[in-house]
Amino acid sequence: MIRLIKNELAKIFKKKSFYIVMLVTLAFIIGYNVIMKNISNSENINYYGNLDEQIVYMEAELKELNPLDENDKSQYIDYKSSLETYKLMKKYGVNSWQFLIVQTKINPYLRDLATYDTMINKDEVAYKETLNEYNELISRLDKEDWQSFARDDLEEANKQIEEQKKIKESAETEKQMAEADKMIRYLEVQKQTLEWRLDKNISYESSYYNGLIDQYYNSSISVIDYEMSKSESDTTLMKQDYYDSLERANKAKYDIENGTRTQDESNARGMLVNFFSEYEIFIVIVIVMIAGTIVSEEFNKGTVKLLLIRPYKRTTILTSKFITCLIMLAIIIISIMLMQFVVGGVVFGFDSLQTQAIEYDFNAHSIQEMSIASYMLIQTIGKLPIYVLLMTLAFALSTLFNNSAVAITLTLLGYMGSSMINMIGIQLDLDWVKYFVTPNWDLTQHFFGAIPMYEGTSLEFAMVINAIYFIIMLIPTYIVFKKRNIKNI
Amino acid sequence: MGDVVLKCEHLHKNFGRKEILKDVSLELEKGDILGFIGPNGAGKTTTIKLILGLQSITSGTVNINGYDITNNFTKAIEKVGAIVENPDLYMYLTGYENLKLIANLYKGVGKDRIDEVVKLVKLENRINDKVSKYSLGMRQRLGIAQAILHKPNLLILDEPTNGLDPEGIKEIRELLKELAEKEKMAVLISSHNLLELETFCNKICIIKNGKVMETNKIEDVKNVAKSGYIFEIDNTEMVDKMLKGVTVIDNTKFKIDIEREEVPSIVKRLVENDIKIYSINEEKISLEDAFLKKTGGNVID
Repeated sequence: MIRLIKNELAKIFKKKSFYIVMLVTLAFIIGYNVIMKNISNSENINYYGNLDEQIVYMEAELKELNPLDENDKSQYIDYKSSLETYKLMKKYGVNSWQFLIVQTKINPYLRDLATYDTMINKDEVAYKETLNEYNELISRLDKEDWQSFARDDLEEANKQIEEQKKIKESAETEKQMAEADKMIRYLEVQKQTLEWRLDKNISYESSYYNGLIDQYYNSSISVIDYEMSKSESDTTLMKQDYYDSLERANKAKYDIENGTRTQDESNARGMLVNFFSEYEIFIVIVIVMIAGTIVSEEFNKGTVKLLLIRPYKRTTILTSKFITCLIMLAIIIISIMLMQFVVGGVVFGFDSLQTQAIEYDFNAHSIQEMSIASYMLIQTIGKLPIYVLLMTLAFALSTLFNNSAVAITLTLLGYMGSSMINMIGIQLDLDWVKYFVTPNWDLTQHFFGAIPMYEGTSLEFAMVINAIYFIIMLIPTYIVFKKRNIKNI
Repeated sequence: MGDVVLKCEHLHKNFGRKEILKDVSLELEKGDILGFIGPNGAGKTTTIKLILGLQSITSGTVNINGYDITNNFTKAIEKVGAIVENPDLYMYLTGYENLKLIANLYKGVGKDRIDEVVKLVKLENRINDKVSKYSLGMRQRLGIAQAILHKPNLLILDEPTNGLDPEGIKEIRELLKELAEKEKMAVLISSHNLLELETFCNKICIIKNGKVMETNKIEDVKNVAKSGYIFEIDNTEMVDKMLKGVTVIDNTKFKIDIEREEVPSIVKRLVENDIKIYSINEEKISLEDAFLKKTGGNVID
């Protein structure tokens, strides 16, 4: 048997097609890494579009409007305040820390000021007061002192928490109490982010950590919303959203507290950690190409006769071919992984790879740390059923129909259709779809106590389903190969 | 009698309702070279595939070196080398790599043996070229090399000269002659071309429409049509009264079935009767003529 396997491997490695596909994969990996690096350099694309264009547009529109006309009033306030906001944004730049302050704190003042313009008899004293406050804010913006804003917010948050506590104490109905509880939790999250900003020196300037603060805040709000409104009628999708938010909030928290960059995807580490989502298609194509030809090609070219008149049972020959495919699968996964490791290291530098991998454990409600190597190993084990089952399908089809093209095409179509089947099953709420192989072959969805795509599936359930499909595919393959008459070619 | 290497008994093969082989029996002893002859579609390749276990046997048995091919496949096939149909080799590999793959599958077939076989089939100069660059003749020789690599005692060659030019056929024939002598194995060669086999086969089996018409020593097949002599004389009117077993061809020619030793006495009698003899020619019967007489042309169902 070992002799047969050695021969099969020799045959594969002498073929040009294998190397061509691997080279194309390498080219893709290099291209992808370079593109990701360029994207990360030009991070924070201005989602406000072109500020200059906006300013010109607003100015033109304002000329048409009469602030004192009752009909134009609300539109004037909108346009005028937006125009002034854009001008300030342009002045400080879209990536500056002032941007966020202008957007959240200064914009209301600008609206107030614009409102005074529309009043025929405006209150001069109040107007002056607003203008003074506005000017003071602007002068603080110029001082590069973002901490003062954070401190103000923190103070405000603390004050509000006290207020909400009082409301809670004096609450008469349960509903009011729950409402106050929810507010307190919101404010606690806000307070936490502000404390982090001051402690860890994370300004409002757009940066990796500023993004994490936003991520933590938004995810935590979703978590609170879900937890406070828990009801019996929760769908799996809602629960999945909740788990997702929980994971995102905790991962952001980990990075902020430890000063790590585990969520950064545009470095050698991030590219490696996302290995399977980026390069899965290549693994599938290469292994399906090999498994889809290993039997049928020998039949089509007549070389199978050379093999079948040797002192080995047909079952042994087929088994050795199947084992060869498994070995090739391991070689393919490892070599593509190595390619990404080396290319990622060369493009981004290897430093980031020292950071540990983290995963949120839903059972223990805590972050688990592990080395990148063991993280990749866990991921590989979890994803392995996908590749083994697709490989077996291609292998079976190629043996049953003696047609490589059919075997490869059908398998790839099946792979592409798998997510569609899963989606249809979830959307139409078809429970029996969980007995299909496609919702079960990705074991990673069961790891760390996460919620699987389908309710009622578990790791054990998935493994049994996978094993059943595996055996169902192999039995006819062996029977047909054993009984087949070698026809004239 | 020598050791029986291959014994096929009452082989039948049906494809659906169609009977491809009807009661084929064969026997090969050590040192035999059997010419397996029949027109295209007679069932030669099918018989060979049954012997090699490439197709299932409808009924009957194949026994190689004492082992049954269906019940004890690995033992039975161990000392068999074969080319079936075309020498289908891995075209993207070199000749040497092809042989190495085969050698890997047997115990004790090393580099020395590969080199020895390569020399035997005279491929030394091209053995490291890709098979896709080989001519058909070279591929046939490489096919033979892979078949004899593990020193089989039964060699089965299906149309080894198919598609070759006369020069190539001659080469292969000489190679096989040499091999049969050197390696001392029983050989089964199928062909639809009799001429290329008659010179070195010692046994012959004629198959037609899935049925064995004749299995015999080659001389016996030749004797089916007796040899004779053709005389050219001035007048043939009188000869059938004078001699026995005469076939008159025309006014000046007649044929007589006699042995070589009898020729002088016939001449003497003709001369005594005042008949002028212009020429005497021996009529040679080739295997092909015998074959055509036996099969009476070729009809494929």
